Amino acid sequence: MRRLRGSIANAALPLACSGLALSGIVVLVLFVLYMTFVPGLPTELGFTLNHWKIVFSGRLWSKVIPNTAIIGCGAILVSISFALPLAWLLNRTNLALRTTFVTLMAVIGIIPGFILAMGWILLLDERIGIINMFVAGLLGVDTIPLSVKNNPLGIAWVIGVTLTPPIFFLLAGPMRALDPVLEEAAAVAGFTPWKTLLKVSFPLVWPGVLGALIYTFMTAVSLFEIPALLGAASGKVPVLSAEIFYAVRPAGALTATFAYGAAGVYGVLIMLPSLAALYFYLRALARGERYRVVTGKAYRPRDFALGRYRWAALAFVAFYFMLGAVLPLCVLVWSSLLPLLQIPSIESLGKISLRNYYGLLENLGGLAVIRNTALVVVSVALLVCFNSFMISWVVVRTQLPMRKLVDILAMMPHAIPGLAFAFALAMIGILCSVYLPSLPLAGTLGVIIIAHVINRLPFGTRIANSALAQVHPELEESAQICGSRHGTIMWRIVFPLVKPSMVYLVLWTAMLSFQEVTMALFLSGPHNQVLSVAIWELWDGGSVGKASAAAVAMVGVMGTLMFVFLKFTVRSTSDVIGAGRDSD
Amino acid sequence: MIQISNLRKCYWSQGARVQAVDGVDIEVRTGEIFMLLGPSGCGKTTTLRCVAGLETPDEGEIQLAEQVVFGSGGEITVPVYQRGVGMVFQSYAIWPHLSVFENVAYPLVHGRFRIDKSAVKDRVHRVLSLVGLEGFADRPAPLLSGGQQQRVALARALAYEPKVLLLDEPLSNLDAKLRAEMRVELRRLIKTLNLTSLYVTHDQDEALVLGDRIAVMGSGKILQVGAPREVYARPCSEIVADFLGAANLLEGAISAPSAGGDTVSLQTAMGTLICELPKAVVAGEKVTVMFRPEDVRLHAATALAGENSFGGVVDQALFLGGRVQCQVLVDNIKIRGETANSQVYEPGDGVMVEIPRAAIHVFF
Repeated sequence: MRRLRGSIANAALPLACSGLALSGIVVLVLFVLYMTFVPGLPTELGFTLNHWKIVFSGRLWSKVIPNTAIIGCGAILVSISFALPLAWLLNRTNLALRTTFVTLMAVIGIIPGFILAMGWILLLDERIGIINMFVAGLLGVDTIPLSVKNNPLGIAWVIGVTLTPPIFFLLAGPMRALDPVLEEAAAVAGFTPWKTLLKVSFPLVWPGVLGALIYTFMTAVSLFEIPALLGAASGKVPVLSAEIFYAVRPAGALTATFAYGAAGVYGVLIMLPSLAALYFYLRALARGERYRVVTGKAYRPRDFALGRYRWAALAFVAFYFMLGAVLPLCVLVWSSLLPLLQIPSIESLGKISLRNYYGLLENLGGLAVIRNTALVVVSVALLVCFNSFMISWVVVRTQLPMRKLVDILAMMPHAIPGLAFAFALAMIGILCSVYLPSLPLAGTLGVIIIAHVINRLPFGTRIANSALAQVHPELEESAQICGSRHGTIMWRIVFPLVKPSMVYLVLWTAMLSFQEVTMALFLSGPHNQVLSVAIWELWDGGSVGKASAAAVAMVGVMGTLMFVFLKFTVRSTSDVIGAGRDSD
Repeated sequence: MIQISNLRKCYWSQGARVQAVDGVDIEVRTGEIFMLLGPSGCGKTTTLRCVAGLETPDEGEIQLAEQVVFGSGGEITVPVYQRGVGMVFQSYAIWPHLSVFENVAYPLVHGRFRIDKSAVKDRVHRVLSLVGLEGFADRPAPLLSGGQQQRVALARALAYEPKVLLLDEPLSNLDAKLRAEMRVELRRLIKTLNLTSLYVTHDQDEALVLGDRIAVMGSGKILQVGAPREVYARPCSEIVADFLGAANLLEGAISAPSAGGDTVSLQTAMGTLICELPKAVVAGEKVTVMFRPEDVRLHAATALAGENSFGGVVDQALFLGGRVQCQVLVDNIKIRGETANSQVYEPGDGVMVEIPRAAIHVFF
């Protein structure tokens, strides 16, 4: 007991910070559940089961769940059939230009999904898609019925293509950790290289693959922006995430009825399978531990010689890059240069102008939008970094019995869609505007920042956990012996040592928060619009050319940020490796 | 002076209670180098960490230079940063983001042992020259060799002139040759500064060379305390004998009674051994017989059989450079002995094994 009191006193600040963040998560989750039993607005008292009845008697079973399932499974199929070969080709073979390709994968990974979806609409829409128009022109028909829009398979395709980079990076870890000695042993035992691949290598990376599959499913079913653009907004392909959104923010805002309770029910319905998936994800990770092979210092991955298949491999990589970024971005650039989208021809070349770029800033909402975006991005990055550090301190650096629980709670937002948190925050915002007018939440930047911070905590704590775990406890103990107290040690010793990881975390969080649209859109009001929301609304308003121009500009800014990011982290990574090598 | 009385500390490991330190009493005199020697898991490091304040004992009292730093059932617990001890860690714990100078200056700039800013530079350079690192002040810490990092750790521990110095296996990460050099140097340095030191090691050579006194620990208890020669020459039990130096251990029984002070004969599986016993024993009493390999004499098989001599066959002969370690089978009992490298025995050679009376220890 004395010990426990001592360790609590020593970690007062980390405990307070993680307590605040984690209780916020728990309160928001419970609030979603609570909303399903409230008759109307959260300010009205009462208890009802009507929302559950209405939702379950509606199109839930006939349309929403089947669509969501098709999209989840389809996205898995698409992304894994790109990511698995890519992860192997770019990590374990002698393919040319591998490092450049890996960098390109990272760049594609940060292009906002809704921008790529806009590109795909311009490519493959039944009426306006360039490919459709081209093929229809060749065949001499009006339209061809192949479309990504209003089609669950089309939505699955676009989500699958855009989710490929994160899956690729999830798979790259196990691929690289695979000790070649195991493969060499198989070769010595008389296996052919291809047989080794199937019988030895693949079974060994299977836990990692399984983890990636579950992750894809969780992400795909909770995504809102891509299904919304491709058919959920019009109500033709309803999915769970979009049902939450349009129950609270109906498209025709003034006339429509708000269905807060129904949104809560959809929120719970989307949380439950995700939490189950998280459980299996954590189990897959734990099982991965069992397969982990201890590698010595002389470990050097041996590359698989592709031989005459290398051209096929290069073609495959190029094929993915075309689909993943080049085609959708090119069509956006093309569309941003034209008053009306049409097939490239001599005649259309004559119409090219930069007119869509004139007054771009005013179209997006002026300097206020830039200021809002900068505020959100910077404060989210710093807050995530600070809170992750504090939570990980409790998890890694103390012996407190509740640290396991703290770690699991911090992982929860990974399983629960950001939209559910945004919904709970919006409801609490309504509560505050009635009971606590001094704490303005609804329609402020603050509420968007809170949503983003919660959403990014799982990633942040993963990074901070591994960074802190790498700092040997004796480094702290020796500072204690030297007469300094906990605050000084944290600031003078531990923080400088984990700084490279924290810089990585800050930059990566900033980029993800810059491109995020779902939560920001859900929580947006007249005064807290950020760039991604402004682009969305331009598109929604039908200004395809102007929206394309803004999207091109946004990708340009992201590209610059990514360049800075890679420059910073490459340097700090080598710092970390250097320090690690010399200290052992 | 370090005074530890009745120290107890237990851990919970996977639901099981492990008594790491079980009633340890130690007194380290001022200016003495006191070695805590024992196999891993014997509680020596836990004892040291309790003295430093990095672990809180369950029971007992710890005094550092007349000040009680832990006692009265935990009512008095001086926190680590106020204890004013110097400590060298096994991993050296050199902060990789700081230079050598910044590492050594840290305790003088931050925290309780702060000194006047103008004096810091002088002090650091003085300590660095003490450990032989002049000219390394601006070197980033990760760019040092293992031996140099070890010196930085020592310099940092000495910089604020602590009352006592605690060392936790400081040489175990160095290669064999450097370790042998550092032993001598470390002892010279500690003696020059007249520091009271508590030194934890599992390396018996280190304990013998470096220590003024040695405490051999096992299962959380102190088994024997004494000067190195004394503990080596007169181990109090077979566990101490086996851990400190190599030992041949045989089960046996007294075959003839003795009144004390004269010779007795012992019945062992190898044969009858004659030795001197200072205490009275009765016939039939079970004992353990111990003698060290370096005391065993090996002769050619043709040599005349004298007292305590047994014929045997060489089973293994390991050439160790300066000497040869032989394992001889006497009636299927393995006896370890050592010979000079001028004596050449091959496995299968017949030999005569002689164990001098004076070399035989008897444990009851």
